[in-house]
Amino acid sequence: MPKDLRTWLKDLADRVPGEPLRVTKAVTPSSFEVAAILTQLEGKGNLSAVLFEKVSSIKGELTDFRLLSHTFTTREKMAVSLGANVTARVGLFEKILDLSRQKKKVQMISPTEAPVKEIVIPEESLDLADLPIMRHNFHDGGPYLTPVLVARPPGGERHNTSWNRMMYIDSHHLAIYMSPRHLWMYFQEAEAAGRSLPVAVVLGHHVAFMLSASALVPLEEDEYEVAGGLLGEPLRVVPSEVYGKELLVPADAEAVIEGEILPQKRSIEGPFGEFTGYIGPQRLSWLFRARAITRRSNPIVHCAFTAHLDHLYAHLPIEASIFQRVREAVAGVKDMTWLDSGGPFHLVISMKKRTEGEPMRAAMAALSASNFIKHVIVVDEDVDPANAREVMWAVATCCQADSSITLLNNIQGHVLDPSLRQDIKGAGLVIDATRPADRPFPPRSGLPQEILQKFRLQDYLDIKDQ
Amino acid sequence: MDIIYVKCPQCAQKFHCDANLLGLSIPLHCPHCDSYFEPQGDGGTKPTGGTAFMGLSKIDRKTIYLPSSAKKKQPRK
Repeated sequence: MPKDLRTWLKDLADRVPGEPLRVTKAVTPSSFEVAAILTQLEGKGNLSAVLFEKVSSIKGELTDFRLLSHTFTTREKMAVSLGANVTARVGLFEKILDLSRQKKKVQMISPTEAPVKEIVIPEESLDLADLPIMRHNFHDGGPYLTPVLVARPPGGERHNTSWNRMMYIDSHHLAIYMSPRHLWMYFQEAEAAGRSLPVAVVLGHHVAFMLSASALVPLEEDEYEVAGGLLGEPLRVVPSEVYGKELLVPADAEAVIEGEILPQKRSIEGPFGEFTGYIGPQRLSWLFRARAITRRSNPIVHCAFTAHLDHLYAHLPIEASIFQRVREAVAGVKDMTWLDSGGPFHLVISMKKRTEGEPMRAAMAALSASNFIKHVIVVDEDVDPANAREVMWAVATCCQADSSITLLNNIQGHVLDPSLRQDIKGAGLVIDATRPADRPFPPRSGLPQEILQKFRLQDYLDIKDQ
Repeated sequence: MDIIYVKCPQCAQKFHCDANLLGLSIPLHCPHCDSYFEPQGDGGTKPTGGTAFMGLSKIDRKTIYLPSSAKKKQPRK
């Protein structure tokens, strides 16, 4: 059986007891109902995937759609998605990198075999208000989809997958926000030629497919083939209804909106709660026109819960790609993480330093790999990079501000960074919080393991292990 | 990006937007009441820097897509 979101849910239920949670009461996603439930679960530390089985459309009418969220919130779920037996951060990085290298050519199937073609709604009868579209954060400009978009460069063969937020406008239109990366480049090229850019808006598929959209893949590689690598089998595709073989769509998707980004048109879009934890401002964005919807029966719309942990952890493939670049630059790199509290702009690298200057080389590799990274802290290998208390201890005890901190001017920042004054150009920061390699330094305080083993707590006090 | 808070003339609630949008004679969309309106900008902000401005020879009301329902809702100036 080909992998899809339904096989993912079955694998999840088999491997993670109690997941997914199922909400059988009818909910209206466009009225913050789903967001309120997810927020309260997250507040209780319950990061289980949640399947809403009865959902209403924007019109308020009950649909045959279902809605799934919190699919990225734990490393256990990432392991399920990737078919991995490990849940440690570096282990998952290595799994993602390994699978990404095992690219697989797509498998073309006929429309009659494709589940996503079970129901075809043509342009003249489609209405986007029939979809269950979620409002994520208060002040959001409207209901937002968080789909994976598929596009090809004008005249090219490569498939690009990317996450893009899309705001509902009316029956046939969504506003789309694009960061200046591959999809944006393709649209720039199409617009300069006076053409629209055909796009497939994938509303749900196996989570490994969705993760392919956040892999940092070189422009010459086909991201459908990378998705096949992450899935562990060729991605099944089928010609689109509107664009035929010029745009192949994932055959096992839950639902796909086919359409195009229009040239010389723009839309007012936002505000929208982003991964930064802030509501980004209303801004000028681009305009998408829907030309067809194809879908299964009882399709499952996948929603990344934006501005929350689900959103941050969806970036794991980016983190893996950065880890690869950093370790290529400096072999002594052991671990690396974004800090949850600051989101993707902070990166902490732990390494076994052999010479002075290596921390800076590792930090520069990270900064050059992605504009998601703004601040890099480098610590020694005995410091857990995911433990903010330990990291701050290293900064406090190993740094002198006049020699351990490097400011970098005029680097590309992230357009969603609310602290940027210019739209995209900003500053970077590197803190070398490693101990010096060129002079003696005091040892870390504490007791070695052999002494702790010799004098065991349970021999003195009646305290059970937590 | 510099932002500015604007007040919706329909529902009197505030929201924030890219400051570059003011002075362009294009409508804003109120996230609270779903109406579209033209802000009273200072006219002095130039549309530079934003990636969505790139590729456009000019920006005016025709550039911005408005749903038909919104056109009906726009308050008269």
